[in-house]
Amino acid sequence: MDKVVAKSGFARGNSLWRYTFIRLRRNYLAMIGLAVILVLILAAVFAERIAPYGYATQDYAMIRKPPSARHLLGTDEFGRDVLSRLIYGSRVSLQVGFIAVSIALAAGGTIGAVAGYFGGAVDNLLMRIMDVQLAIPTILLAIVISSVLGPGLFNLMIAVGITAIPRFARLMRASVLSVKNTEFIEAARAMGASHTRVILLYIMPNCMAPLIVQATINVANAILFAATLSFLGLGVQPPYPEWGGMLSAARPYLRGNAYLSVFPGLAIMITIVALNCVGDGLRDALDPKQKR
Amino acid sequence: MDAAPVSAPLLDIRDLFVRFRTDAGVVHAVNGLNLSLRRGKSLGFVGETGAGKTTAALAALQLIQSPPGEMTGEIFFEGQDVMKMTEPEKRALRGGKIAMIFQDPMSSLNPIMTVEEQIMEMVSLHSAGAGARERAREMLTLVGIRPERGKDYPHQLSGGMRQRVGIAIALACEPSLLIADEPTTALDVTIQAQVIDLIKKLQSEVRTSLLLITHDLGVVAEICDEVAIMYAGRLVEAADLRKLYKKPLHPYTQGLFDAVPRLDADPDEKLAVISGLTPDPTDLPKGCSFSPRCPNVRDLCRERSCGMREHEPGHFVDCHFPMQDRNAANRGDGQ
Amino acid sequence: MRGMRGKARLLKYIVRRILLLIPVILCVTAVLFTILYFTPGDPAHIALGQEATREAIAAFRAEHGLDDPFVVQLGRYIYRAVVHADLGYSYIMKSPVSYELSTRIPTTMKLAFWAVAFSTLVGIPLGVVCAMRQYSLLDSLTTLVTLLGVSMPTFWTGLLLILAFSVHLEWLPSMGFSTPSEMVLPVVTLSGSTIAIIARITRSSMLEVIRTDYVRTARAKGQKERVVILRHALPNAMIPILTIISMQFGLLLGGSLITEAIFSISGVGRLMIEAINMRDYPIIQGGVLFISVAFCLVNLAVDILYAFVDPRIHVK
Repeated sequence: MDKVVAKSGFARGNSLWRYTFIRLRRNYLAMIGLAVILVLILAAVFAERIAPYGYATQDYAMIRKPPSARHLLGTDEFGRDVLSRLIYGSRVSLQVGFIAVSIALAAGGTIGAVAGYFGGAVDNLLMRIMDVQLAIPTILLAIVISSVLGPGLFNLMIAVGITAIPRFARLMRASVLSVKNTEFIEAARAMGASHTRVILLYIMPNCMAPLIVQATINVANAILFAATLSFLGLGVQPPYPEWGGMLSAARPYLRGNAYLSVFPGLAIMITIVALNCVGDGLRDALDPKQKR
Repeated sequence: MDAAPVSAPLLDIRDLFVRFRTDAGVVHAVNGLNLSLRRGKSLGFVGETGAGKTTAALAALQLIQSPPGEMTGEIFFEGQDVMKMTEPEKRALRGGKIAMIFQDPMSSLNPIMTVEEQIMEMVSLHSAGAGARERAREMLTLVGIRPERGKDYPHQLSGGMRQRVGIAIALACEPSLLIADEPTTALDVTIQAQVIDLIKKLQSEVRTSLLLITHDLGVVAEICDEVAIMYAGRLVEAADLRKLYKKPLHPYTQGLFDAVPRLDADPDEKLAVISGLTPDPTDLPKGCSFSPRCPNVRDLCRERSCGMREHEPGHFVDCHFPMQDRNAANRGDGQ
Repeated sequence: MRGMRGKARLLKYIVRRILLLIPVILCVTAVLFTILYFTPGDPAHIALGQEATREAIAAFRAEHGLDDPFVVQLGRYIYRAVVHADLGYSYIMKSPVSYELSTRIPTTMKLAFWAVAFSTLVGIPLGVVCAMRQYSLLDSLTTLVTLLGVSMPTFWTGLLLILAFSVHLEWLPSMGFSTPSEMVLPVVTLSGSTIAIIARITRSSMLEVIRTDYVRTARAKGQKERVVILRHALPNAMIPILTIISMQFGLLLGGSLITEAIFSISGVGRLMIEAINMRDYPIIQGGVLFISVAFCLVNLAVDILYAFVDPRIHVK
């Protein structure tokens, strides 16, 4: 029994997380990724103080000027500072990334937990609904939803969030099924705990590990999706900057002003790489048997 | 272990070391193993899990993956050092001369090939010409499986049947040495006896030598001529079966015997257990590696190990204070 | 005898999988119809423009059955789609949706096919070689490149490729998809992240499989390392790789939207982007439906391929 407990990583106190963190700290790639994300969060929070110019401040004397001392990453077609716009843009990306995934995690986690816990017809119905959703390629679904909802930050989050629900639901269901019949759940039930209580206090905490790994990787996905939707004109509306939208606006100037297409893409890539490194690191740290 | 003057040994392992470099440090799996096996004989290779028995067997087949594994020492098979063989020579050796039955029949067969194909693969690698399928069917019959079942996939067979398939694969090319790595550990008790009987029967039919890796002294008594006891990567005692069972010299061997439940024992008496755990192979104790668990440990043991010596003719032990002497001494004290 | 029974089982499995697909596709159709039905905006207004008279709009609505109850309209849509392959009418393009789609499907199929072929043919061998030479320079380099690969948005990859190969080097055209030289950049753009993902999953799956007991058994038989890898390890490692390829196909179809937009390729993707900008819902609906069905069929094909690779799935 001891072995089983250790293997599935049932949380006993904080030791699981402490060990995870110790292992994670040894993974320098993951630590770099974490540092990059922290920097991005700080940039997003303190954008007004850090950014040298406002995101909409136009300077008609400085239209599409390449990087210089005054404008480190150059200026765009309205004479706006690219660096400042990238800094403000991190707000959109991070918000969409984290909030969309929170939506998916909450909705998908609940669906998966209910399906796995109750089983039978409930399970069947919920999972068939998820199957139907999975039949539509995610990015297309996001496009349809955001074209229906219309542009805007909030709608973007909803559209991106919905697409990730089935993945969390399936993962949660699988975890619940693996935990459901263990003795401590039966013990809780025997003590008269309600279904909600058992799910929330006993099952959920013990299924968190795979969900957190998936969530980290999904934040990266969500940011990519948001950028893609903005690139198609379905995301945040100008003049507010969004990295995908900036790339879309830069397209006509690819020949003359390539830097306009390079920096926003670089910002997206660095963010995604950082999140992927943290996600991979977390997975290895939480599941040491995989990496031997 | 040069105690076989009559005929040159079939397998002669000399001073074998195997290490693995891992994140957790260097694992010293085999530490100066000396072992020899004469043609036609069967040797029981006994020790706890993690003693390095399987690693030593894989080294004989040159199947230690490098990296992370590293090997030093000599392994003579039919007079040739397998460590110095070329890759084609090693391949001819594996399966053709030395074949192995693995511990877990659930995982040691390829799940997406029929069992017949898996036996045929062995046959076609080591014997020229057609007839691989016939040979495969013949082998299945020999191990007591209806040849029609050759078209089945491993998951359609029971554990016992899968292990029979493993035996069929191993013996298909009539190897001169069969290594059986805990062939019954993963099986139900009722099946264990059948598989052991099968190995015993086929060993005499095919006239192959047998190296039986096990932790089960009962099984060893049933089919082996000689016994070697391994602890923490090296032998602690070796002798022929009768000698060793009659008079175990090493306290570890004694411990193994004490841990076997006996029908004639007093039912109220507790089963003796060797206290402590097998040593961490990344951090072996100084001196005799059994010293931390030894009931009769003395200062000398923690200082240095004794080294293998012939305590009685044909009975080797690596202990400063073998059991018999101590028993005598204790008896002397007591009376 | 056994072989025959095995084949019968396999056939039964395939038929069952196809039958299971039908309700899923019908549900997808219903869901898409529902979403777009309740979207604000009157199709009659969109079709006739803001200046249309009330009478004209009423006539239009009557003609196209827009005043019927929701369920009737949904039923009609599904009936026509299934029986007549009729996906409705684009009031903006003044043309049937099926016709508009059918003229563009071949191009998109060609793009998707080459992208899948290219990413599989590059990704799998790359992953296998990395697993064989774990921790080598090649392995570390590939790990790094694939990490960047999965992190680059398709549209940015496309822009960078155009920048390098069309603008600076002037080797390859940046528009169109008819000649082989026109096909290179779009296919590479679309394959980029898929190659990276396939290489990564192949590597980790191979690393897992080459440590299994049955691969050791194959080596203990005296089999050549190359044969051990190709005959024992890779087929077993293919099972998770196939899953990823079929899942990737969905992303790839989505990515074709972007790729077609960037390289001005007139396929289904570009048609849909135009439809999104014009709020041409019948086209959006038809396009998503087509791509979803294609996605389901590919998943089905992969599931069937699975059953051929892995007897545990259909033989019980």
